[in-house]
Amino acid sequence: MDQTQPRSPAVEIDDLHYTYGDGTSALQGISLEIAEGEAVCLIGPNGAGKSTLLMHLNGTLPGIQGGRVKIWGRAAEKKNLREIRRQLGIVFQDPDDQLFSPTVAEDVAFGPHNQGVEGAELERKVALALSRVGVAPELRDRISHHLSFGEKKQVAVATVLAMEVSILVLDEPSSNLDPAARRALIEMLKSFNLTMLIATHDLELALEICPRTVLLDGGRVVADGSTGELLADPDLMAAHRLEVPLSLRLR
Amino acid sequence: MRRHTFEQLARRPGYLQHLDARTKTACALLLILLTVLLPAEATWPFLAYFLLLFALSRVAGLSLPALLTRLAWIAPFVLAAAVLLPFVPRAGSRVAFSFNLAGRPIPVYRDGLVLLKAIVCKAGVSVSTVLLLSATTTFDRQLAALVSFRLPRLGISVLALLYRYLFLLQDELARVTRAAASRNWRSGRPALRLRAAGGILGSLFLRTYARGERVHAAMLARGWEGGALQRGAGSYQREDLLPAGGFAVLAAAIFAAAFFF
Repeated sequence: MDQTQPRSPAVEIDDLHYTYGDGTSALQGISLEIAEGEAVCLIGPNGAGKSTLLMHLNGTLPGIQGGRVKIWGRAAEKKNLREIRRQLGIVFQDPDDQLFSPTVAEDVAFGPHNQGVEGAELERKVALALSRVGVAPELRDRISHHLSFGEKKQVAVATVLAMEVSILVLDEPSSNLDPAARRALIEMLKSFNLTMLIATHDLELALEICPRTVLLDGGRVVADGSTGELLADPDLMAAHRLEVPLSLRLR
Repeated sequence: MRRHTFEQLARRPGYLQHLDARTKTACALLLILLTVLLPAEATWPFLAYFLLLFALSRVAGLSLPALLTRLAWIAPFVLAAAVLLPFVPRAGSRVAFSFNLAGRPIPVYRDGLVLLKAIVCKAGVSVSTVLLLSATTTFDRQLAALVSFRLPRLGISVLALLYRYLFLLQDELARVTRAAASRNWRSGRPALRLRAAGGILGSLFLRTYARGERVHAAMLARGWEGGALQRGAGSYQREDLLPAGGFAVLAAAIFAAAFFF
């Protein structure tokens, strides 16, 4: 990986371990560093530990069992979680999990409201976040249940953008989207000037958005490097239930 | 989608739809309170309340069949609770009439009939009031009104989440039963069908539980620390005071008249 100039790390993960209550060992010593402004994709087969890793980043899972997570130098522990969640937003895989308020606008307002933002300033943040993801203003007062899947996904991203986070974490952002909605999502993510970590099976999306990719399998980091080089390695891909994207095979 | 017709109706432009949710909620609560307090012997005040609600439904654009269909949903509950009352003798109660069942005379008591009528009317007016409120006020505004009335926020948050996820659960149930039906669930042996139904309910419970955990995680991720999900309504539109006052006076007058006529 090209690391000419060391920048202040946005995310630092050191020897992270996690075992679920049923004994499934999801993370077995993950170490990873993401610099400010970097866009990194997290790939790997189902059950590799991608989602578990993401949930550790802002303390959504109850407690760190082993190892350390730091966001902008702050340890992800209880006393720092409020500030960390202000800095790092997670867009979950199923937008129906993320959109729980009666209307779109209230859902987008939920995060900033928790930060103590109220009144006209809150309205401004909601309107700005919705416009950044390209959601039409007339959808503001709609019930989330009535939106199309693509619209739900856009709103889910807006709920996090409204918190004015500096690190955007997305879990499978393109799953279940139709090609047009997927294209809109990719263009939207490319337009953001944020540090991003994207867990995905959509390797073409990884090629377009992330210069760097981390391959996870069995709760361990198996490979970490340039997306183009990593995804072009057929043996590495096949060994971890992945495949070289078509666009690279046709080259 | 049929199940959302009330929500769609509440979003249409209209006089009642435009009124502040707090006005309508307060009026609805007042009417329910007065109805509950009406003496059981009253008859025409119940009819007057029904007429009042019917007139308001017309203003709201809610058709009588739509109102009655939804009202019919409560019939089993009300009747299950009250249908035996006329057959229970009370001290000093007179027999209104009697009929023969398998050669035995069965007396029907007047007091019980009066009680049955009162329960049916009170439930009918109360539920019609709530139906009219939800046909003219979107659910988020109703919740905001409850916040403004300083009802416990936790309870309001639970209502908000219930409303949001009820539809999702309904969809999930529809998907699971469709998948089961496509494998000929309905043509199996009754015992097998029952077992499958148990499995469907069990898996729905587990899915709901898992979704609850995911939603909680998503809430925590956006800085939720146990506060209310719902914000209160904005400033009150004072021009609502006139229709609200008129409604309150009319409802109270009918109530007071019930004790004299």
